[in-house]
Amino acid sequence: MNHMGTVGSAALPVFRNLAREARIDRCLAVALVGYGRRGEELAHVLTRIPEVRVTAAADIWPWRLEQARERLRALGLALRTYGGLDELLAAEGAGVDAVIVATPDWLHAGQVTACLKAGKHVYCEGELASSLAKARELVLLAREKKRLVQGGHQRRSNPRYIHAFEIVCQKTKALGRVTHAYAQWHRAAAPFYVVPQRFALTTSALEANGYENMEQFLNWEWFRRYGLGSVAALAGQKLDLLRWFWRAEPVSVTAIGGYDSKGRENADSLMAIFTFVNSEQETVRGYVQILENVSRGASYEQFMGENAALTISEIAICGDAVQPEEERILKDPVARAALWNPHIYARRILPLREPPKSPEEEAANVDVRVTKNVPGWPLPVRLDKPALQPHLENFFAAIRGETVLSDPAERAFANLAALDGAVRSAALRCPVDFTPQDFAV
Amino acid sequence: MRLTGMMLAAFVAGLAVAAGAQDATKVQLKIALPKPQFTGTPKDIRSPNLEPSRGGKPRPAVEVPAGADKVISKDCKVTSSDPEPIIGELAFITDGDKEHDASTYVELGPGTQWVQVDLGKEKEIYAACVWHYHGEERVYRDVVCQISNDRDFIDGVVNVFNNDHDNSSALGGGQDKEYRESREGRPFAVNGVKGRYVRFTSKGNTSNEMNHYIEVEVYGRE
Repeated sequence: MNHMGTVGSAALPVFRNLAREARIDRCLAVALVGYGRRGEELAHVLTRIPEVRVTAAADIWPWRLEQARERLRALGLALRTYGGLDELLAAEGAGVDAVIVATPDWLHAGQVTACLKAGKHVYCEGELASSLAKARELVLLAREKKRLVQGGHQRRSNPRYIHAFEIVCQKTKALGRVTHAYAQWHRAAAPFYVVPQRFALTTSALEANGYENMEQFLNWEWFRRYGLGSVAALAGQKLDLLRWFWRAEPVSVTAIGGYDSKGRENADSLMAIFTFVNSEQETVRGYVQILENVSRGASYEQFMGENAALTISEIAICGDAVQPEEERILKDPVARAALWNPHIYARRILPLREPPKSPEEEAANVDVRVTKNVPGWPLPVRLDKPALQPHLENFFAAIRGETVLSDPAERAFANLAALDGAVRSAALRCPVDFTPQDFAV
Repeated sequence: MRLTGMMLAAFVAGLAVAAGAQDATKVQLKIALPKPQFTGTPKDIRSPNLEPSRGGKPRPAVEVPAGADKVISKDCKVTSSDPEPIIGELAFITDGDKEHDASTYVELGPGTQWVQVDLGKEKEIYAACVWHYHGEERVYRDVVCQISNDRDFIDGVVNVFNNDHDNSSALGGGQDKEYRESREGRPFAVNGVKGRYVRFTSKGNTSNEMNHYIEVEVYGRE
């Protein structure tokens, strides 16, 4: 036996195997590289998608691989595990259709390249690569190999966002002309992750895989040698929404960023104003604020139009409603009906949500970190799956030829180009202008 | 016999002394808490039976008789419906470590699962506290706390807490509220129930189907 983890599968209940095997002709075999916090979440979501089997996983940390095997075993699933992606690709061969890359960003370029060369479709978490040059090479390689690469901007597949952007805003222009947008992601500062020494990787294993020590391995986002860190990653998610909303690439960005917490090498704040030119050739602006030392308001976006504003978040409690621009319209039922009833009848929005009538109602189900929902017309679409699931489902459906990717490599590259501009602007302390060629491959 | 004024005053004074003595024997349970760490982005948790947010305020303290606020479960033996935890060891549950990192919690399989603390002999229990995984915002389903002298929990079972509002775990159902996990854990007032075994049940959580325990503490006296 040249790989780990198959012995346990011999004891799996037969009826569960039969239930899975009966659909194998429609199942895609998927491998996962990276079983960190994100990889664990992805693995869980993959087990919820009936037409997909996660069959193999790779990670440099044997302790985590064992947990992955045991967790899938408890669900009646076998998982073959490997100490690295190269080993996995060599052993699995044609037995894997697609690979989910959930490793730190600085490893993405090399791993996506290896997967494409091995003939696999790739779903890549976060940004495609830690440099534009590497990301450009990935896009070209994907074209050459005729393989799909899905970027990690999962809100592109979120039905709530699709409804809000495509129907409420684009198709019906319910907000009117949207001149400004605001997107924030705030998270409280957290101590570094630690594990007891008995679970740690050996020094030689860490060094062989490019890590200076266990602290940097567990907390790579905060160390400069491994990339720009989580602030850039979060900003990338928000920036993608602005680009999607206005269906345009930015023409310029002005950004500032800081190192406000102690003990971190990478920035823990980034504030960037992106200027776009919309389809009507009008100048519009989006402000992205990422803070990794305070959590007030958590994560949401607001698109402010001349008639109304849309407040939305991946977490519905943080935002899921349209509010009219003029507050008096909320209080004037005649004016309100004239403007908004057509949208309500067409189920583009739901009937008005009133302000809370009592402190108890106000306190119900509100997390201390989030701003309470303002009155407005809620969106009619709920997502009752994990937030990652629609994006994975889109990826697999695209592999089968049933749809197109929500976040193909070219689009993910363009996002990285815009994000790169923001990071440069913050470092140089001056605006950065873009040309269309910056976003093209 | 007519009560004289002095006798009446003495009677009232006696009542006051008795009341004061009763109040003096109650103490607030002081539970040692792990480091605060509620990182990441809030989760979209939907539950029809969730207790309202306290807006960041701590949960009201449980009051117990003086002398009954000692942890009587430290390093006690733990058994479980899942004899082979997916992650960790059952001994973690009474080792006193309440941090939530990957090396301190026990993961049990999906579905309804329980862990059971054996106090060694019957003891007088005044409170219990359970910490499920609290490194992110979650709600654990069908949380039930029971006490019994019967190791198999067939006879003489006292129900302390049950938020299985639809009785999906078939333990009789309960109307207690679901709650968001936090570093505070979930303490339960028990009021002097005598028992040797304390059992906690759950059935998955809002993030996945698995069951997790970081620590259980039982407070009381011999």
